[in-house]
Amino acid sequence: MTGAPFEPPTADLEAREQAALGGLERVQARVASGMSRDAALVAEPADLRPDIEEMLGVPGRVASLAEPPSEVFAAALESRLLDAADAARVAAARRRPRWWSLPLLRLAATVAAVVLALGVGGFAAVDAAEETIPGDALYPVKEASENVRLFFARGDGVTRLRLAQLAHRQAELEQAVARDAAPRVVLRLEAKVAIATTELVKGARRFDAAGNGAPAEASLDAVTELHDRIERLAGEESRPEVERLLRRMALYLEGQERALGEIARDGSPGAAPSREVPSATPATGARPSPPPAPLAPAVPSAPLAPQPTATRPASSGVPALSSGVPSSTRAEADGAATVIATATATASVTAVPSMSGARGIATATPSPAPSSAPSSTRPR
Amino acid sequence: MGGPEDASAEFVALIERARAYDRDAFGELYRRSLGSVFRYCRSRVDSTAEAEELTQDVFMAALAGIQSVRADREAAWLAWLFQVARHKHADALRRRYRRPQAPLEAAGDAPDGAPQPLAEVVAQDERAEVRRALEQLTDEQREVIVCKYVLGYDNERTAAVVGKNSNAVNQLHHRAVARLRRLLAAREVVR
Repeated sequence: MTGAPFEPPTADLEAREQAALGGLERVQARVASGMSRDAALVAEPADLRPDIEEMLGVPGRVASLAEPPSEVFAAALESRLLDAADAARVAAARRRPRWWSLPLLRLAATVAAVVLALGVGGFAAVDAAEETIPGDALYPVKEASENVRLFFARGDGVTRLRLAQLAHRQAELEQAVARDAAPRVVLRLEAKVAIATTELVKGARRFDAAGNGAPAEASLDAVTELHDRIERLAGEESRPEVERLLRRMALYLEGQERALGEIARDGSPGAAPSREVPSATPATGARPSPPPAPLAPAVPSAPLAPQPTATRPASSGVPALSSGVPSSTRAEADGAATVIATATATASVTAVPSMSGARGIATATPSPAPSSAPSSTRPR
Repeated sequence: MGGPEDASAEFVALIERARAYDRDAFGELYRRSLGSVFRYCRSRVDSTAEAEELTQDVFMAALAGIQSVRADREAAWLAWLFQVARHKHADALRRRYRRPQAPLEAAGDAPDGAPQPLAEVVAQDERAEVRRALEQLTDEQREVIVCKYVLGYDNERTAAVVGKNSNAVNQLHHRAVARLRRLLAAREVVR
């Protein structure tokens, strides 16, 4: 059998329906109070009676759907259900709560697992980042690791970390050159060398003022070693733009070396005697080169302590620094520092002084105007 | 069956025991609600066999989900069982839609395929008409009508089971009756 299409009531029909519904309520109330159905219906307006009667039939027709369950079915289902409940109780008893199912312990175990995973992952990342250079994906991890260590370091520890940073920069520079890295990588390293060295010199001054010359000594060694390595790299490098950057770095380091030499010379009882710096180095690189020892971190393994000069390897090849440096040379080195500082701040390549001579300090004139930089030296 | 607010503490304790799969507690819950659940199911399906199957599914699901029941009154427990019944019925309809079978009404309710008296056939036909009309109501209207006329609940208990206040139940009831009347009248005309 198919049902007739249902048509929504019109406004008139709806009003009539509402009236009939009101009548239905009244009739039901009368029936509930004991009146007979017919008597209750007669009390309503005649035109509404057919509608009310029809509506009164609806509950009866719906009630015909009410069918109680058979006793057989009820008993059979109860038996099945209770057997299932017994089985569920036994199964629940077997599932004894394990210690990790307890809420607090479960939470603690989860937190511990996360911390462990992060810790292991973090250590692995820091370890993997050790061999990176600027531009590598993990280099920021290395930078962050250094910054965190610096944040927590105090006293001599700061100097040790700065020395370690210089050693890292040295290794990174060598790697960058070996990998034929872009000049911008060398530029970033230049900025990082400038920051680490400046901080080292500042620290050395503070320690020196406090009567401890050892940090200045250690810093001088590290800066000198880096200086020498960079000079050698610059001599080996065939790409002019990278070579210029390396030479600028060497120039800056020479100025810092001199500053450290002065601290060491003038400072504490443990300070080293003055060194001599050649007033002018021939363009051929007549400056004595350090021995071709592998680059080792310049971090002293022992705590920084006043160190007799005699303990420093005589063959370290450290050029003698003296106050006999021409003032113009010092000014030029300071100028290079300014250039580096600018590079640090702006991360843009500035024009490099003419470095036709390996030690052309006296003639080097920093030209900080970025616009004059050759396009090949701009960051890519 | 008592009122909607009766014996809340007693009912909560009963539910708690049932959560521990206490045989007596679950048996008590079953006996209290079987009549309503079966009638409810029977009002939605075409045959007693289907209603029995649906009722069984509802109680088995209740046993499986007893840990998650939040019922502090019998009305809430029944409302939950009716909700389970609605879902199970919808599942059965979906299954039937995917695997069409011969209409169950054609099979009839006669035991052992014995011929049925004419009066019974007419009554079955009448019930099928009403059931089809009921299915055309909204869920809320149908719940109210079933509670009031199939289960015999008063307004208050109906309101507790459908989760509405008495006024809302009255409105739903009137609209549902008016619509049922129209639907059934239209079918009479067709017939």
